[in-house]
Amino acid sequence: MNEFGFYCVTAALVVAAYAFLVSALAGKRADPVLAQSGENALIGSFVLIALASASLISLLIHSDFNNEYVASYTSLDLPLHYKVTAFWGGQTGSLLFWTLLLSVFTVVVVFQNQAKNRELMPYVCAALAVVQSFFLAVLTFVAPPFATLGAARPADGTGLNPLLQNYWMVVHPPHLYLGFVGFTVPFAFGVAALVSNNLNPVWIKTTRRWTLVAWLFLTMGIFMGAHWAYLELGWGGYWAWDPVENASFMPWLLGTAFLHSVMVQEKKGMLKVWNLVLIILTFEMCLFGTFLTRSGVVSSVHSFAQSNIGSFFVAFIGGSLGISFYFLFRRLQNRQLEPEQRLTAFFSRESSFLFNNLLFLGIAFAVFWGTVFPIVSEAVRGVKVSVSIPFFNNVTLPVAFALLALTGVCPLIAWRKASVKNFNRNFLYPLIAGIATIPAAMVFGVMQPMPLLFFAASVFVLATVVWEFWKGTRARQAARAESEQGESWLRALYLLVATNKRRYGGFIIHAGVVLVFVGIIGSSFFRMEQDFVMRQGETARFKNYSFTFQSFGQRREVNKEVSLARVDLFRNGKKLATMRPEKHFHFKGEQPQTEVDILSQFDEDFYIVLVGWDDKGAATFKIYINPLVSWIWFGGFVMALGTLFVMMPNRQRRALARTMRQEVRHAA
Amino acid sequence: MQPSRRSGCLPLAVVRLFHRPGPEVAGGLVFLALCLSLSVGSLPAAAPGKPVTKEQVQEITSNLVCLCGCGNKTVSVCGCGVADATIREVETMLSQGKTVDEIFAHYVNASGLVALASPPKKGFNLIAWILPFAGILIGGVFLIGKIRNWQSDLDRREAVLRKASAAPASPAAEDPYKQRLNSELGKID
Repeated sequence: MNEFGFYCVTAALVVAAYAFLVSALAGKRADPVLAQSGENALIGSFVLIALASASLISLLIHSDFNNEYVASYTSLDLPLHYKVTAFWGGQTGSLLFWTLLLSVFTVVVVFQNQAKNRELMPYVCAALAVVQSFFLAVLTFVAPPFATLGAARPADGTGLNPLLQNYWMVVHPPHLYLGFVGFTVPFAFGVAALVSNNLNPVWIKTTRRWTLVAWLFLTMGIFMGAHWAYLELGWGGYWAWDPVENASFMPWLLGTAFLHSVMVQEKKGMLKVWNLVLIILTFEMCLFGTFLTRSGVVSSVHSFAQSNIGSFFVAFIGGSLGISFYFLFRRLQNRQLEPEQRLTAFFSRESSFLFNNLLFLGIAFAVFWGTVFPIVSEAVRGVKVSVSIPFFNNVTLPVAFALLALTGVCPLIAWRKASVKNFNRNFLYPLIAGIATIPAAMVFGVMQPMPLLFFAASVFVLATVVWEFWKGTRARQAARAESEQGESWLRALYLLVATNKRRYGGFIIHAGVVLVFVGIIGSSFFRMEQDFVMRQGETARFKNYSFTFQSFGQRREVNKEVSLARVDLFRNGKKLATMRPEKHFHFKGEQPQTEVDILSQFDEDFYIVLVGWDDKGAATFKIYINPLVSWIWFGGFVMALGTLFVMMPNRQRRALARTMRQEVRHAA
Repeated sequence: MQPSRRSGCLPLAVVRLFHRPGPEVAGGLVFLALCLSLSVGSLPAAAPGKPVTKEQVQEITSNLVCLCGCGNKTVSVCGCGVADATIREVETMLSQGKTVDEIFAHYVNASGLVALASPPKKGFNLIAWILPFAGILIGGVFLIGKIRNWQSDLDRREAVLRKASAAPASPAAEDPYKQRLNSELGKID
């Protein structure tokens, strides 16, 4: 099976390289036969990569410790589902997983475009084949997943890192990778448009859903990772500006900027160059994120050890960036990317989108710069420095505030030029609501300027969303009343939203973003924590909670020993739950693993950590009260729901388009 | 497997000492001494002096990086044994009257600038702080300049159009294609 997997990877590399050459030639010669050959080769490459992946999974399931990867990331006592998910638990496996996802997406693109975009497709296939070839080359020559140990084969494997033996760690990497890999498709189309000189906005329309899907998975992946950190790392927080966390956040920021600015190109024919720059940077940042995670160049709790793939990634990122920008500059020089209209007013939706992009890029650059600065400092001056939570918070928070405020302004300001009338109609009431939040929050004891500003901005944005739904529903009802059709409020709201999913789905996503911001501010600025040393039977008090340490015990499981405490929790005298914080001692692990217990409520989380115990029956608990944390997870859920809503097909529009096509055919 | 241990025997030892009859006072003293020596390992090195608040400790530990190898978590959030020991050290130094700057200097002298959670705002490291804001500022200025240019272009074009619609059309100003059409039609006529 090892040899079979190795041959599949090597063959896939050859086939992908063939696909690139043939597709590039097909584009240059406009040869449909060559183009078809290239597409078939990509399908063949997918089959080979799928077989290689199946081989590795089989080796993992059967605990074949002759395979170096299997021996490094599994053990005999590892539960079966973790043996399977170890596929993406280590470096080489995760690179093969990346390649598998890319090959699947490539095949989908090929089938989706059998009858359209035929001029672009050879170049798209060439771009996708190049990326595939790169990853396959790394897997063949640098980080092979089918390396064998031969005589050094151990009787048992090292096992999977205990931190990764968790539900969220099972689902978090695939979601992130689906996001990273998903952005390859709009990138490929963008580069194809540049290289083929086919610069009409077809490539944007074609890849809109791909961009949304990639963004959705990346968003969910980031939230899952944060949730995992909250549950598993035991420090009461969910985001530590770890380099690998930043590696997923940066492409998300750029992808979000891209999603917004393509709307301007679709509506007004502007920002053509900017959108191409954005999608190139988004894709490169996805590669950079993979490079950061895998190379260990900046040490991080996520890193899986320094490796030798870093230089190959740097070379590929540099090369792909160089080629993409070469073609972009060529088209610029030939004035082939002129906008159809120009931006002519500061106070317009177009300019607000541009400023929104500026802020997204500003935050992305700040995060990038903070992440790489330790490397820069060591390279330039030979001095090691750290860049941690305080830096990122101080630099990104002010910009994030401006972005939040703009989230309320952008969707409602008029295209071309806003007027005082437009301002009064759309912003007056939300602005009043936002400003009124400040004294109201102060009544509740919020005195710090930053939380006050963020809460005010959040209420402003939420109010614009509610106001927009309200105005639209009222307008629809009024229009129906004039034509004497009549419509209930609920029906008017449903039809308003159903016939304009993109707009109102966007508002739902913005509402989700606001919830996330509120949760972050609440949990960051108002968190309380305290240590308690308690004997069994003792009760302690913290805020309006009381908790009684009932018992302490230990149990043995297949691959670990578990020490757990039982603590009864009360709030205002009423019993809420029995909390069971634990400490796990994996037989193959070096460090004990903290398993916290959390009671999530609407207003705050009660978070308890079993820190330690002695043989006299006393235990130390660390208690965190984290206000509004559940709003973060709920906000993420709302964002995902909004995105799915945006992606839903618009039945009315499709029916209309079908009718128009039929009429055209009859006329012809 | 090293769970942290905390001794709770000191207060009990004191109670026992004052409630035992005379001949057993010596035994009580020995017991007390034993408790004290056990407590020394788990309590911060006691120093009489300034009371230390949680906020003071938090201010410092949230700006120090835990050097346990976890990545770049701050001491205040890492939660490992190294972080716990650092927190106790900071408490001791604060109670000894050391200033915040002196405490930071202590860790920088021991481990280098890598001990600080952010680069100091001076010298080469100032670039870390300035560049992101400079980038946004430069981008903003560029954007505003570009929009202004486009606005001026539009104003100029509108002024030209207004002038053209106000003045009577002269042959010289006539569209060249229109001129050519007229001349070709004239040949036919």
